[in-house]
Amino acid sequence: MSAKTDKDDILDDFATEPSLGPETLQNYVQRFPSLAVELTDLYHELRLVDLSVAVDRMPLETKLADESSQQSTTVVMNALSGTNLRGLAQSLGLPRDFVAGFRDRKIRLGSIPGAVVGNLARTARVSIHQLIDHLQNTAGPAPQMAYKADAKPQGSAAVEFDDFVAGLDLDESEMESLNKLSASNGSD
Amino acid sequence: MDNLPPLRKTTEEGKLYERRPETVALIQVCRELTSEQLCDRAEISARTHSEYIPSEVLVYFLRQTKTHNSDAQFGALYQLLQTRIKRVCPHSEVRLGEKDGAVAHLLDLQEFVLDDFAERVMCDRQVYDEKLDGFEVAFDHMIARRKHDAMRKMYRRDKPTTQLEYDEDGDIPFEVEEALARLNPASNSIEDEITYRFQLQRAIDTLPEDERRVINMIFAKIPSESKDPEVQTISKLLGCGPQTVRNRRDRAVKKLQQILETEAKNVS
Repeated sequence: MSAKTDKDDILDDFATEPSLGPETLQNYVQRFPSLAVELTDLYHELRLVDLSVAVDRMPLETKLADESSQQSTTVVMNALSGTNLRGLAQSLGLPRDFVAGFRDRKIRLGSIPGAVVGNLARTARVSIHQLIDHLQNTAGPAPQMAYKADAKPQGSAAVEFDDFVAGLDLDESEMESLNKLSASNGSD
Repeated sequence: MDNLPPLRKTTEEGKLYERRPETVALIQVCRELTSEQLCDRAEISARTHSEYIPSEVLVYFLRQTKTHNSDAQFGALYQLLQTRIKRVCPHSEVRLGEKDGAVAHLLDLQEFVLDDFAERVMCDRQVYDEKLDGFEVAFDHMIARRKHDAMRKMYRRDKPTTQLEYDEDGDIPFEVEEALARLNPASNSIEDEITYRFQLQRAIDTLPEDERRVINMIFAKIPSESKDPEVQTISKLLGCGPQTVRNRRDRAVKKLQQILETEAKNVS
């Protein structure tokens, strides 16, 4: 296990301690003195959270204003449309219809491999959560024109990712690009 | 005994992560609900509400949706958790050293946390990801932990503060807790006490990080200095002399007193 992993694991352990008081910090600092500063800073953050939760429990019910996912949709639509779409398809080594499928929400989110969502978002320079927001937003703009019209215009029924890919008739190099996109890049 | 699938992540000591008993109990209750009922209840945002479902429970159900044929429940729970993350990790002021953080940085911080969670969720849908286990144990803490991580990454260029300290003879004339306790309004109730502690912690949050660390370590009863070389002291942990620790403590206490006095005056 790498030193980095160890450190992250220790901080995770600290954050999930059932009871987090000064004595917990003291205990961890004694056990892991090299992480004293990080543990102390994290402890401070966690105390703030705990106390704000405690304060939150006191007053009368307050409703958080629902934040619309419309903003995400706009960002993603922009990143997956027009010249951005062409550039993205090119850098992915995949046909434009592949990208357009995401733009038009043709694919059922649950069937898309996680790494594809992550890597596509990174390449398109949008946040993963924005891409997810967009894919599950059913109240967004209507689908745009596809590059190939070899299928009849679809309503809102999303297809499985594998079926979507099968319908694209990818050649060998495009399949290779897709495999690359489906591979986890191991970033943290 | 519960029949929930156990979490798989282990602590450094080799112990399996465990959901809190209250989380397990509520999961059992919520398992009896239909998907619609669960999502309706999950929308309750007030923690004081008797039907409020803590985020740890929602993460459990979110992870279970990987076997569903429809994305409906996943979508609903994911959105709700996003909203809750934004609440725990709001666009708040982040200091860079003693300066105020730029607005662009504030946005990045929330983005980092949201994105990190989204990535873990998506990975977990593919192959079980132990990194998500902590969110079923202590959701708010894990979000704070990621926020803390984001801040470390964002402000990595922060240099350790090695200020020139002047030496003074003698001990500090007051203990930190004692000095600050005088500002605690007569605690008639638990609410007053919680409010005071929250104000104090927020005041500590406004201190420069070198002073903040000293104060938090003092509250954790880590000794400032010791003749025993085996004991971890604040000066050893922070790599500065005992006098520096005392000076930071002095400055911090003075600032905290000012902040809390002002707040007390504003309330009365």
